[in-house]
Amino acid sequence: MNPLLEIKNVTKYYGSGDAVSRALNGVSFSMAGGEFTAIMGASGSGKSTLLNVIATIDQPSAGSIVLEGRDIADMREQELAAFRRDRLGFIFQEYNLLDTLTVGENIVLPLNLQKRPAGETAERLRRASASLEITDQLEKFPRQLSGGQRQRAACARALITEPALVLADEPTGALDSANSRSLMETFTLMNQKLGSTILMVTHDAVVGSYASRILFLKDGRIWNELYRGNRDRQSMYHEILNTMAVLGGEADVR
Amino acid sequence: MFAKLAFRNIRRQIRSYLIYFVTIAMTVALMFAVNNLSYSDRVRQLADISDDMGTMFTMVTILACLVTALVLSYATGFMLKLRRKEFGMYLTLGMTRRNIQTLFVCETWILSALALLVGMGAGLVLYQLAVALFTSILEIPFKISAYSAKGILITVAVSLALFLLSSLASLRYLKKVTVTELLKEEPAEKTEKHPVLWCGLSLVALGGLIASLTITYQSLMAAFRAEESMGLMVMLVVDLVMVFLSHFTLSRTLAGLLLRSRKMKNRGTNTVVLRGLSGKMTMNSLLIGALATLLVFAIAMSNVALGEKIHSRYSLDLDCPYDVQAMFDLSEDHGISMEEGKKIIETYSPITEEFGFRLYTTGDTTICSIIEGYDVMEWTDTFMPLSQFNALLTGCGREPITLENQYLVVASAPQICDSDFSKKNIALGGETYTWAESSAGYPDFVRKWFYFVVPDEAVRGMTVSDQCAVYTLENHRPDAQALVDDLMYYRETEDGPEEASDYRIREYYRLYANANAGTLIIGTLYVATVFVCMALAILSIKILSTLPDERRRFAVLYRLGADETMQKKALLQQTGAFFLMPFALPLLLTVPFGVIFGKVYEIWNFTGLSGQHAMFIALLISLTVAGVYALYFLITWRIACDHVICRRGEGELTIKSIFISYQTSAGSHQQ
Repeated sequence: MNPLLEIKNVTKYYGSGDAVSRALNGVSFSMAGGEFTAIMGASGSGKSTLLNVIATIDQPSAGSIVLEGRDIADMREQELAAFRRDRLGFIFQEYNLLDTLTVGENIVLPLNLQKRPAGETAERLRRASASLEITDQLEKFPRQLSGGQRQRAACARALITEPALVLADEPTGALDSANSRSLMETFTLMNQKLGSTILMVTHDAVVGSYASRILFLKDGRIWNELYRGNRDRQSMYHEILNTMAVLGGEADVR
Repeated sequence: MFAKLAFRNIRRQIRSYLIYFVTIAMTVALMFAVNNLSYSDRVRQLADISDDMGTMFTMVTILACLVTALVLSYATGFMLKLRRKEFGMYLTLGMTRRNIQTLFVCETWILSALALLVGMGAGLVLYQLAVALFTSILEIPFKISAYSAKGILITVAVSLALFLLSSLASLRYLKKVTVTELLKEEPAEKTEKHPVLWCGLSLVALGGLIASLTITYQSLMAAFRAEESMGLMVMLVVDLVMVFLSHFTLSRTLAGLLLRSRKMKNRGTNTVVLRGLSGKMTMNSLLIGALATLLVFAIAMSNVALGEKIHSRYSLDLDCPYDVQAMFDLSEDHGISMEEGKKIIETYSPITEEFGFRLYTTGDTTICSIIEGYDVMEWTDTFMPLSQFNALLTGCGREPITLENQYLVVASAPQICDSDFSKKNIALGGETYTWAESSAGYPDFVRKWFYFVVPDEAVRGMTVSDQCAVYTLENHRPDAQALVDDLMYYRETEDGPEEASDYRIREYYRLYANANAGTLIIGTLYVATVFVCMALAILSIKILSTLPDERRRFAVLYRLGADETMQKKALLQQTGAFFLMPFALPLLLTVPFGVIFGKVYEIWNFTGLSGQHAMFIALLISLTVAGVYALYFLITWRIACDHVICRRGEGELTIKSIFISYQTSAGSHQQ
């Protein structure tokens, strides 16, 4: 079976002349459809850079990124925008809901960019808001919601276009532990019930323990890899802590 | 140390300061040109016929200074608020308020001093252009004029006073504001919650505007006919108030109403554009109303000024068709006889043609009693023979007229023509004459409110009331002021001696009208330019002040799949609509201005001058304002694009940093 996402020897340099730094150093891995993968590592290990090049926001210096059989490097700027719009979903640390739009308007924004008919938009909004239990919040503005509710709205926005891949950058970074747990249960629901493929960057060992697979990054390279297999979440959590201890990382323990 | 830090800050924030700088420099340049014009000896010589020039320029300078003071205070306040977090940070790091006040005042004064220098430099050129315009209106050759020390000093003094005023306002703010206020986030612009209610109010305001314009039109027409009018000045003020209210209510309505359309919302970035626009317009509805009122005022004044120039050119042929016109009322004593007067005229220019004629009277008030107020004015029936009237007409290039047992009422004011002569037949020398027509469109050969033109035989046996003559000179442009002075004498009256003259000099009329038109045009163009530039500066500042927020929003849009073209389109729609809001209606109002002027020309019977001329002037002014507007808008949009649009490769460094600042912002919202 062909993988959904295939990363081959991706390298990324920043700067020029003597001030060149290597953020990614030949990263390679692949993800199958319906997989929930977390990327962990210390600050400066290249997690966010990796997410940005997969998100097509940044260009890799070398290597290829193939999603659903298409190499992102071959695409032009306009195609990339369409690709992000149609095939990727984003969840950010600080939600990044537009403060001037209502929650409902924020959620359907990707569909509006796709110019979907009004009827279909309304139906998808109904389904997404119902699965994430935010139907009552649609007419409110983001400032009127709690952090957890805002992040659920951001999840609904990421899912509404039924993307091939959901990218999450430190999604629990601004949440307290209760809301973090609730959000990760939402991610599990998205992954197991809705079949979403999720690639998440996190510092947090508890958050990481919800994933089915974890890639550990160090100095821009994949240093280690963990699969959940038949382990429960608790033992996965301990395994992550052990790995991080060997890695010399900065995993948050909550 | 502060000067060094201030210089560095200015360099760092040059883009934010650019509009502020350009606005001050432009205002100083305009003020410099007008003050020099007002105090220039050469210009005063050129226009010494018009006593109103100095007063007019002083008035427009005061008016423009008031507007400039407001805008400068606003712009300084904007700069202050844009950097309040930075100042809050300085305070928390241990800087004293006095340090921050000194730093900010240093920055604004360095910038103002630079703008003053640049403005004065531009003013040097602008002054010569203004002189060129003025001499062209006076119809005399242009030559470079000297600068007036008084004009330069006044410009510097007024500019410094304005800078001081805006600095004082900033100092007061920095003295009173708390650290928490400096550091807290500005709330997001809230969209209008009741667009339907505001839509109703907009309709009422628009209806009010149409009604007030209609009443003003009627009042204007009545005023031009010198009839009773419903307080024209009051109506003009009501018009401006209605323009303000219409814009105030419409700006709270339009985007909100469009947002109610689901179909409209579901297209591309429309929701983002409309929400952004609705927030901006609601927050700035008062400002939009005020700017629209300023723009209407500026456009109306420009129309009036240019209309006045055209009016003066055409009215000269009506008011004084011959080079010199003499009229001697035989019931009065004259200090200079007609023969003496002729000799005086010949010392200025040889007379090439001369035509003498007479006015006759019956001493009765039979016909003029039809005109209301004739008894108060002590008018009597005065007649001119048809052959003399036709000779005068043909002498100034007009077609002669025919009368068959009829009489013609020639009036100098349109309201006299409104009196009903149609049933009034007059019996003279055994013949009865019926009314032919009443007209205020004939040239003014004699200084009479009105007289009756009758067939020659009708005046037989009447008393001569006035001995008149018209002269055509070899030199059509003699030294008019000197000739007028030489033909003047003092006449004894009950109130003592007063100046009197029995002559009308066309060249003097022309210079007088041109000087007045020139003063009015330069004055109004100055005020209009200041108003338009101030309005544009404020709009630009408003747009630029929201760029950091827009940048965060567009970064989200970019991640969600809005490409560069889509982002540019959204930014153009949002910026364009905000810019257009206070501008569209004033621009449309040039159509009624054109119609009104066309009607006025019609009432005044300006041959060859039609409503099309008025529409042309209105169109010209609109296009000029639109051009300046487009230029300002494009600069602002360009800056906005540079700041806001997200592209690939800016990803890691730019977008990430944007999101970090967004987190800080959202975090404090949450609190």
